[in-house]
Amino acid sequence: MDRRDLLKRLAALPVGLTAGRLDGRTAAEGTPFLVKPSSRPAVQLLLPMDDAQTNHLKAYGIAFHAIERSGRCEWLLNYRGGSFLVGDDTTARRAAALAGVAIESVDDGAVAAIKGEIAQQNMDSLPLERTPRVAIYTPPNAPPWDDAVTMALQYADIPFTKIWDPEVMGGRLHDFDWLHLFHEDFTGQYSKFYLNYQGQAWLDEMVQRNQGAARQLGFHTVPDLKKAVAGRIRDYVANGGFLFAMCTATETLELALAAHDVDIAASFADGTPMDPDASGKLDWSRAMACTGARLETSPGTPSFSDIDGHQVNNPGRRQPLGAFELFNFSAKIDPVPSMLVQCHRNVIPDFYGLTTSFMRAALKSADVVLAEEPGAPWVKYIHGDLGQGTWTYFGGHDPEDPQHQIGDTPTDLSLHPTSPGYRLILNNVLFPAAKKRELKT
Amino acid sequence: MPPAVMRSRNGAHLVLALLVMGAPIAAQTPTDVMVARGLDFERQGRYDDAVNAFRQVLVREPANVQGLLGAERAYTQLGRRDSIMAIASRALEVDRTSTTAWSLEVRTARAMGGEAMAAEVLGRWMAAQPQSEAPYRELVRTLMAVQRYDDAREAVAAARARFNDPARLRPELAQVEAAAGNWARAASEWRAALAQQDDLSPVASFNLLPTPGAQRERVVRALTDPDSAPAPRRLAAELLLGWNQAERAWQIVQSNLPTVAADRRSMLQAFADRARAQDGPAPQRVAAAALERIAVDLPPAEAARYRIESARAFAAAGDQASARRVLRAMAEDPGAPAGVAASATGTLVELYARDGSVEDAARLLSQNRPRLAGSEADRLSHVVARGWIAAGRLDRADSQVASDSSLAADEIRGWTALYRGDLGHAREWLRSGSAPTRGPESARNVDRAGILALLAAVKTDTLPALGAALFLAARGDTARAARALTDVARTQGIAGQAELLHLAALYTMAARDSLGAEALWGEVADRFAEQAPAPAAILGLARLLAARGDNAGAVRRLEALILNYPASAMVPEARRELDRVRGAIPRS
Repeated sequence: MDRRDLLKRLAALPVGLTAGRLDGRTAAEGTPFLVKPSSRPAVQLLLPMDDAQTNHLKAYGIAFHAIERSGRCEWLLNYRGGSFLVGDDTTARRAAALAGVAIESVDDGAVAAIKGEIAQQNMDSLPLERTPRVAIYTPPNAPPWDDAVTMALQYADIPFTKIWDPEVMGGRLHDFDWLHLFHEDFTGQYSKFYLNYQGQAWLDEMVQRNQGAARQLGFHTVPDLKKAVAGRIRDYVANGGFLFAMCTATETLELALAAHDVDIAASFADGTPMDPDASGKLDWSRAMACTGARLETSPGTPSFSDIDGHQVNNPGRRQPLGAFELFNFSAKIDPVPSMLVQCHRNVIPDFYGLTTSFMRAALKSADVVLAEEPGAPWVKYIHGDLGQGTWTYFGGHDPEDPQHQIGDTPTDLSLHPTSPGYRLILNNVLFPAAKKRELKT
Repeated sequence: MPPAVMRSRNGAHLVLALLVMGAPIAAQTPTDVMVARGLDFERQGRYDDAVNAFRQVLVREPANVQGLLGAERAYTQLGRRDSIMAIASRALEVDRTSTTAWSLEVRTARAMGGEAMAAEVLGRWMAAQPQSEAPYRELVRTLMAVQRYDDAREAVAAARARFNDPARLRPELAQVEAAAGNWARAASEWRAALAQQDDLSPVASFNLLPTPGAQRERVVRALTDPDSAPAPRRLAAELLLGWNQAERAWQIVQSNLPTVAADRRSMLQAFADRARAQDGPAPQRVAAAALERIAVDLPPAEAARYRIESARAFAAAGDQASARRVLRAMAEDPGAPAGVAASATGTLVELYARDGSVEDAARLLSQNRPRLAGSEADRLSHVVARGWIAAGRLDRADSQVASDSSLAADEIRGWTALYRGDLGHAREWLRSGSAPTRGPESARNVDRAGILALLAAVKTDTLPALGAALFLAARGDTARAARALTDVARTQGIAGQAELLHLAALYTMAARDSLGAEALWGEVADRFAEQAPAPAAILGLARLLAARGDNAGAVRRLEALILNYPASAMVPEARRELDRVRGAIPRS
């Protein structure tokens, strides 16, 4: 009997016995956690994503690896919070038990019933075929615990590659399907931390690292380098890449694109003051999501423009946090935005970031709003197309640390396994895995 | 003659001026209201409305500072800088001495027309106010903003030559030197500036705090030069505190206290507040010392409050001797108010009992019982009893609570019975007794529950060897406790072997014998795999392996725990540990 046969036979055994054998123990220990034995042979495993799920975040990892192993996974949009249907194999069961992910065995009949329900309601079943190659844009040696997406991917056990300016400028973006940006400041002003954190070792290191990269890549200043990087990212999207950005990266990427030949950086960043008429000279046709925004001209105010509605570090203009509401799209007609808003909660408490939200007045008319704060002049989560690719922006820094401050204890996602905010991030990772269909968005 | 009066001599202006000058106070209010409205519009991002509000202010008072600066901000947001020039010019028409208006014009000129235009405005300003150093100050700021430090120094020199005064523009020069990275020179300039004007200290501190580590000593030397006035020395102390050199900061403060009592108090209070905001024993200790020093100047009641605060800060810093010294002086002070003396006595009893001076704690409590409220006296009596247990005097602990029928006293009896090996009574008293359910002492309830579980597994009613082993642990000798407990566990026919070995492993770990703990936990996991402590033992083993860097071994153990004991309460913790080992969550 070869290993494959052995695994097949093990998979056919009652689940308690199977799990016991995995560690060389007898069946006497009983039925493993969370796995409901079925009297009929199970053919697939359902990962429910409603409140029956005990670890939503790791469920994405289970789905990701199921696609990787077998190329078989279905995303049941709007069905029980956006559940996943994966092949029933020992590896998936074992991984789910270890991760504390709730699974349900479903036979052909149950699957047929689920599909019937999906056909009749605002739901859809989307095949996921190929795992995306994921890149995270982050400086070398950056601690992993200050980036919500890195944390989410590490926690969910989804592999990724870190890239930074040399890789972007070296044309490596096209090796990846999905690119994530976090709190990089593409205006090249070091998030304007320079003024409040002057003398701090981490800031000195950030400045030196960026200046070193600019020199190495042949740019006079860091703002010049970041504008070039922003341009490469735009090209990547236009050529079919999937971009997901959070926090400052959203707003500053837009500003850097619009300011391709305007000096929008304060003198501490490039030795010359900002062009006094910079706002008037911005070319918004280059930007992906925003238009008509005005720059923050004071180098002493840690804010970039009026794109952000919350202005967390601008005491006179800071707005309090509310809650944002996810839009309910038609799963059959708009599968892309539907995928991005799959969640077990429709209303989610808001959280600050250097860029927390996007003023409605600054959005382009083609932008798709995925989540908004009802009645507020800003929205939280937006999406759009550019050329062959798409971009998605999610405001804020850390969904489980709403008032995040520099130096705060890192978020431990094992304490937030059902976080709805982090789910939205992980929706974005699986979205490029969907089989392409000719459907409107 | 003020410009407003000059204008009042001309026809219609005279009527307007008289109306304004003679207007009642209520008529002045709308200006403030208009400013506030402008600020509100600005906060809401309604810059057009903000401009209108600020312009209305400026129609009434063309040189109103808030109106000018508000209009500058709002116009800048709207991208209409050119409009600022008009309001600045109008302000200067009515007040040629308005520094705000001149500065505004310089900034606007620089933004619109570059340095040449700014220089032209500065030239006019210098001509209009030949005796003012304000235009030179603006020039220095302008040059500093574009990092032209040599030119900024020259501007300072020009001002000094112009006014024939080498002390002019010292704060500006200090900031230029700091921006240029000449920190010691900046400190020397600040030293001279503070000697003339000590209220510049916060600016100087903000400016010098970012001094790089390698240059700090030179900055401190410059500020504490033997010729330095007290203000720069106090600045050095503030900087040292910010650079985590609290003891040295306190030495400088002590020898440079202001002579006026009110100034001294405010300076010490500010120092103590800053120190207490920092982590670590040294800042807490110097905060305590500063608070104690404040008390010296105060009347008894107020001084007592500061001394208690000081004692708490000393205790928080781990300096129990100083805390006791401060409290003893208060408790024995016949002039101290009753409440203060009682509070000091209570804190002192706790300190004595915690430090092992239980006889002193008992005596102090006995002497002061009449001064203490009943519940406080009982609480302190329990503190003393626990002090006796920790000191190994079970008889004295029992005597201390002999006539006490409270739940806390039952708990104390339970522990003394346990340590004597009287497990039957220990079960009874520990089950009925209770530690406080809130505050730091509530943790003892967890210990109590753990011991009750152990006693339930051991079953027997009398086992002096077990009591002795647990007593060793209670007194901090975990290494001997672990050996004694292991011996008990190996006694032929004893019940609860797995529980005893698991507890022995915990004590062994506490004694930093990881190999010994590994052997004991391994025995529990393998020999007693079907018994309750097995999952906890496996978790302990996995943590040991992870701490040793054997992540693969740790993962193997954790996975076995999760898969083989799915109903165990240890599973959630095992999953977190697995995430930690795999680097999926931070190691906290």
